[in-house]
Amino acid sequence: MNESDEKLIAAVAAGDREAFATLYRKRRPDVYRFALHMTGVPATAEDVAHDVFLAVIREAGRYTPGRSGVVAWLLGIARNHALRRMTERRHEPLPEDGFEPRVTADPADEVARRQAIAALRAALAALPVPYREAVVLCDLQELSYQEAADASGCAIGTIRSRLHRGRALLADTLRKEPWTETTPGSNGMSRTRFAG
Amino acid sequence: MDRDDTRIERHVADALRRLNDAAVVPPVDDSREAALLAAFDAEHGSPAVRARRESKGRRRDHWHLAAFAAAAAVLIAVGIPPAAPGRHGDPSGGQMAPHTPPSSSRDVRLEPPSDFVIVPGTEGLPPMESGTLVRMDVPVAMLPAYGVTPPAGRSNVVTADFVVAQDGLPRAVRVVAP
Repeated sequence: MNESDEKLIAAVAAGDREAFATLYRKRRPDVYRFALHMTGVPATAEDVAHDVFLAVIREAGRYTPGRSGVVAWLLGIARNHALRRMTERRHEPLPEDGFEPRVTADPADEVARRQAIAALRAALAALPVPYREAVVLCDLQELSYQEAADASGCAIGTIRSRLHRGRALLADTLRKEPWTETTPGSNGMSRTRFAG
Repeated sequence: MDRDDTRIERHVADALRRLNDAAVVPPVDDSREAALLAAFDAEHGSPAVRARRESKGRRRDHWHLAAFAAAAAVLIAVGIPPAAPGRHGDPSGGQMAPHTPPSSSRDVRLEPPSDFVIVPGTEGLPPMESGTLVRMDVPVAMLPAYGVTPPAGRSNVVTADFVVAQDGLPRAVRVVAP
C-alpha cells in the first residue's frame, strides 16, 4: 500500500484499522528517531512512539491537511510526549543500545566511530532543549523551517534563531573536544582521529 | 564567516549526519503493535463489531420501513388515511387518548450490570490520571482477554463499559447487557 500520509490520516479518523496499521509502520521510524535524539534513551523513544500513535487514534480527526505535513504533525505530538518524559525522569544519555555499529573491516575504526558517535550524542544531549529540538527537527529529521515551527508550536523566526544558536553551541563543543578532527576517507566515509 | 567557521559548520553537519545514520530503528514490536490495534478497536470498535453494527442499522431501517408499510396497508384497508411518517397525526379526531402504562408483559427487563473487573496485565502501566468510560459492543470471545468470564448461552456480542485511561489503554471492564 502506497497511500499518502494525508489519505491515511483521513482513513484513520474514519475508523480504518488497516490505514492505522499502515501509518504506524510507515511513520514509526520518524517518530522513534526524533524521540531518540531528544531523549537519548531507546526505551523511552519506543514509549514516546507508542504514546504518539495512541494519540493519533484519538486525535486523527484534528489533523488539518495543508497546514503542516503529517510528519511534522506527528513530531509535534512526539515533542510533547518526549518533553513530558524528560521532565518526569532525568535520563542519562549515551546509551549503547539502539546505536548498533555497522559491520566494518577495521575494528579499530569501528571502535573510534562508536566513541565519536557517543561523544556526538553527548554534545547534542548537552544542548538546551529548545536548541536541541530545532537541530533535531531541521538537521536530523530534515523538516523545513515552517514544518519545524509547526511541530514546535513557535514562529518560523524562532526556529531559525534556535537552529542557528544550537548549531553554534554544537560547533563550540565539537571545537573543544579532542576527538573532533575528522577527515574524509578515500572510501567516502569519515575518519575520526583521537588526540592523545 | 571566515574559513574556520565554514569548516566547523561543515563539520557539524557531517557529525549530525553520522549521528543520524547511527540511530538504528528497532523492528516493530509485535506486542506494542497489538496493543495499539486493541486501543484502536476500543476507540472505533473492532471490525466485527463495526460490521455487525452497520448491518444491524441497515436491518433496523428495513424493519422500520416494513412496519410502516404494513401499518399503512391496514389503515388503508379500513378506510383511514395513514399519518405521514414523522408527524403526530390524531386519528381519534382530536380526542386525547388516555395514557396507559405499558403492560407488564411489555416492560423492558433491565439486568443490573456486573462489577468492574481489572483488566489483566495493567499492573505495570502508569497510574491512571484521568479516564473515560466507553460503552461498546464487544465479541464474547474477547471477554476472557479482559478477565471477564463470558455469559453462557447468550449472543455472540455483549455490551460492556470500559474504563480507558489517559494512555488509551483499558484498565477495567464490566458487562452491561449480555
